[in-house]
Amino acid sequence: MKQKPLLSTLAILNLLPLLGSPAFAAQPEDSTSDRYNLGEIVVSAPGEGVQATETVRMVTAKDIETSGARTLDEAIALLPGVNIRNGGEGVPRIDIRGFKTRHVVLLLDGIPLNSAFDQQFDPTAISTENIAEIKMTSGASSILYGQGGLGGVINIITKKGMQRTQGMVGVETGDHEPYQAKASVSGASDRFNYFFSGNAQKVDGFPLSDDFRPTVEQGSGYRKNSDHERNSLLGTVGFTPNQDLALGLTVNYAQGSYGKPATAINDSADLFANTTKFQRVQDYSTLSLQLAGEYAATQHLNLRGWTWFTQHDELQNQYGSRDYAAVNLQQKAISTITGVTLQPKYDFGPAGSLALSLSAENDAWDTYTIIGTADTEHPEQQIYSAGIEYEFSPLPGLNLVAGYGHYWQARSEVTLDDYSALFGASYDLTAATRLKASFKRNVRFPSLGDLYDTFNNGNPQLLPERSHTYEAGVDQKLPLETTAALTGFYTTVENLVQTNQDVGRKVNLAEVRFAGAELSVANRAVKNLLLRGSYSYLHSEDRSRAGREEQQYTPEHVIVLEGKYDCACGFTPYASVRYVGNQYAYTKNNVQPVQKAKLNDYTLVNLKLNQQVWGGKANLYVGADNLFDQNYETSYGFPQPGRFVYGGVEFRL
Amino acid sequence: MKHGGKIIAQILILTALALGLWGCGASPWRYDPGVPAAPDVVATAGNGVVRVSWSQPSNATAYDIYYASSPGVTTSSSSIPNSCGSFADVTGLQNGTTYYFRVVARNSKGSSPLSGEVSAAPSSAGIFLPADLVGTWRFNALISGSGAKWMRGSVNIDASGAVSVASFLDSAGGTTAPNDLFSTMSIASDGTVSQDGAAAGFHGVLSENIFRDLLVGTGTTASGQLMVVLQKMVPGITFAATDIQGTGQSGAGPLLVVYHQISSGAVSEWEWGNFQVGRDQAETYSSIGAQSAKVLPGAGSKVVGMTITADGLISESPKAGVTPQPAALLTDAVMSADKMTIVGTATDSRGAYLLRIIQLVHPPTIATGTNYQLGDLAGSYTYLAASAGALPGWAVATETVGSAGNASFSGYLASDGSTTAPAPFALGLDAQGKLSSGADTSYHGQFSYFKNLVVATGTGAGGAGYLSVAVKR
Repeated sequence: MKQKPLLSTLAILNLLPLLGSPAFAAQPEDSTSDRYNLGEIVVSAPGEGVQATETVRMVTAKDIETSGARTLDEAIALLPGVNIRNGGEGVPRIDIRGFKTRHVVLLLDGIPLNSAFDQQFDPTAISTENIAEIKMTSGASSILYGQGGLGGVINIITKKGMQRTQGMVGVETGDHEPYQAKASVSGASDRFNYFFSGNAQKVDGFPLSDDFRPTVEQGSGYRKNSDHERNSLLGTVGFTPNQDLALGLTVNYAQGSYGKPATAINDSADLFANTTKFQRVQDYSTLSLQLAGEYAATQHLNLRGWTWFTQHDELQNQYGSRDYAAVNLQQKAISTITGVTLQPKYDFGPAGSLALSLSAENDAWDTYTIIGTADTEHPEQQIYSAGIEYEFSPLPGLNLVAGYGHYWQARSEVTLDDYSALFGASYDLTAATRLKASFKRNVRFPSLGDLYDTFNNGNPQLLPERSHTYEAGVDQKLPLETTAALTGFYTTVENLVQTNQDVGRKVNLAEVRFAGAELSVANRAVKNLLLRGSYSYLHSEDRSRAGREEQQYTPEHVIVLEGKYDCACGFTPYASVRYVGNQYAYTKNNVQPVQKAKLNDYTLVNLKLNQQVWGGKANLYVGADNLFDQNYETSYGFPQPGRFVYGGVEFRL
Repeated sequence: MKHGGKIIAQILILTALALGLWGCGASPWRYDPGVPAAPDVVATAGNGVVRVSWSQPSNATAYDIYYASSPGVTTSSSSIPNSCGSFADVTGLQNGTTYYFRVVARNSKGSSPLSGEVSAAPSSAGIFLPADLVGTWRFNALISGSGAKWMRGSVNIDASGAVSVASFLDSAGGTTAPNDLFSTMSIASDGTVSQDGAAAGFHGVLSENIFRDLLVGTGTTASGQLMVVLQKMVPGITFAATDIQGTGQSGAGPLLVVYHQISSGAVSEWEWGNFQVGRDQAETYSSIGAQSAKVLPGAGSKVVGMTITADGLISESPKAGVTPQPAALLTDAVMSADKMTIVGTATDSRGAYLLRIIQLVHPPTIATGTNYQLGDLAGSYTYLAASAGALPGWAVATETVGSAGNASFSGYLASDGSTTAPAPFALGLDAQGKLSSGADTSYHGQFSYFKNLVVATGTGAGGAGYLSVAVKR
């Protein structure tokens, strides 16, 4: 069994401040880049327009650097309403307010990254060194984002080069000798700007908690089949020929492989345990291209447009036994999305502004069986969207927004259509108090996999899923440089696509309800000290199957505390604590009657210590994720990483 | 203030330490299935072998079999550990010696007590006795010809061979068995079975399998040409849903199944099909063939649900909204005691009457691998066939198969009195027991897992479809 001396780890972390020099100020903001604004779908000043009526949370590049987040899921894990699950799929799944990943729209500079097959995405494929900002809209979101996104929208805005060529090189390693190497270079001239970054990561396996009890399927030490390797490149080039026109090109490429750890429980008598599967994604690659433009046609009319292409292909292996020796099924799956969006916006001045969004998208999914006997499939669909959103401020401090979107899903056998509608309002009651409320009816068309994947009970008769979300909240500035935000929400979802075990195919069966509240508080009373905390409460009702109450794997309580201090010596300690409580699992689908069990509550503590050296040109850091080696699960039978100690250095050029 | 940062950092660390320790220590919750109860056990003797069968508690995951040549078996006795499924063959035993057996059911929580002790004495095969016929038998039969129909029910055979019909149902709803179906049965030492009186046209054979529970017969009756399959209810053998469930990736995968059938009446033709049964007992068809054009039921989706009673009766029900449905669904089909064969009758959507024989390619807990070898076909079989069409009939013969799959007939007799046997032919066998004949593309057969039965369909002389059953001697 490997040793993880907690006290010696803390002792090392405690010594770091001595490395600093008192000559340096608090760790500066990241000055190497700005935001690639052409990647924004919804453009308005922070806290104004439609965003003032919604629940929008930001994670900045500074937040990412402070916390040590390496990938998208790590970067947003502490946001209210977010739950990260790790089950049998080998990659983390991001849930927002109880909605699963397929109900979250993920954009990279406006490029949709959800798979054409099942509308899920791999958040670990997005490394963080090129992220300027992550904007997460929970619940009711702008019409301009299109259909889908019943749970929310995550738009990753990348960095943009600024005057003067700058760069960064960093390396990181840790327990069990994983490595991460990253680099970026950026710059700008009068008309051009560029930002290029690359990242290479390799992990042989994540460490398990020392408290993990070995089973037939999983020994102690390191998680079996949990390796992953990823190499990625991202580049954005902007061209501004004149003050009215801006063009941008984004290219993103990632390649790698990863294992899908099997359940640690191989016991057919366990009514809750998943069937053991031995699977890997032996190779994958993702290529995204986007050409964007913005043209100020007149003083009032602004035109924005994008055309994009995303292709993701995977080589998936299924093995017959736990030694992963013999492949009994190998398939290649290719998801391709191409599209174009035109978004004119007219500013009427005091009468408000009106934005239109016209979009056409083609989704295709191809599966080829290389080893084994499974069908090859090549379904395709087109999605057309037309949306309109009107923002208006009839009184000072009062923002109103109304929107309507109509969507068509065109397939070879049928064309479906449905709509979404948004109404929102915000009012600045005082200079320190803002009230807001919104309602959104939203839709999500069934994915190509839902419709045509015969191996997994696909059903071409499926109808769109629909949600109704009601939200109300207050943002309040409090004394001692404290800000607080409280939001309550209620969402009903109908026609959720789910496999009906009685008929053995997917149907529009489920109705789920979510009700909750999110409270977040931030304090900066002490100079250079940031304290943040949040509490999320989520009540879920799974009305799809008899015997079910709460939705499976949906925590009822999440508490997050964060603290960061920027010392004059260039030393920045950061700590976060996340408590997750009251989540439930149910027996397997073929077990009657249904039984419910409560997963253990757990608390995770992360610590990271940064120290600037060499005149601010380098940053040394050490950290520990899951500092207290909590033995916990987010899905029954899938143990999560134990304590992971790491360290690294970044050089700014 | 230069020390203020260090102080605040230490405060942060200590606060995190306190909060983190608050959540430490607990391991994830695990389901407790409880220790299984001791199973009920039956021992059935064969030639140098005893098959030990047991009931399956729902929370058991493995079984250990203990045995000895004297009573009082304990866990220190000889054992076959870690068996899955519902039976195990204890081989290498001495004929004529009585052996005693007990079984323990296990799971992750522990082991059951030892089961009750049962005994059996293996004996050499080849000799059939009248006692082999004694018992309760369920039957499924098909009549081809002008009086086409299916019949099913149960009979009791006593020590004198007298057959009394306990229950009867035919395709017209009749509940009275014709008097030329069963009379008094007698069995020769080689396993051939005959009847007297009105049923004297009967030609049957009893399988030499370990339970001697499969009797196949043909004959001419007043209604038409008969093929009947009788399956004995073996005392102590019980059935459970696990006998018709796939095991998923944690075990051998889905349960692979193949069927062959012959129909008469409105449509006379052969048909075969392959499907798999999942953990939810749902059937998904993968292929189908017949003399007429067929559409794959379910188009790749789960299309039919299968259920089984504790005494081995299997029924199918359609999955709502899934099309196209199969032309026929079975009700009260009979699973054999070795749980590898299912026989049933039905009326299909065209009004045709059919007799269907279903074979499991492998037991639920055992994946196919190298179980089927061409050399295992070698031997002598009693061959019975029923043909439908314009000239329905039957045939019996001795079929001999060589180690290379070369097959030939002798002692051939058909319902029209012909004794001219079909020409010799070559058989091919794949890894899943599927039989083919290179010269005859219509031929489609399945070798049984225990290598004692071949069921096949094909197109015979004059374009008549046939269903054949070859029972190994």
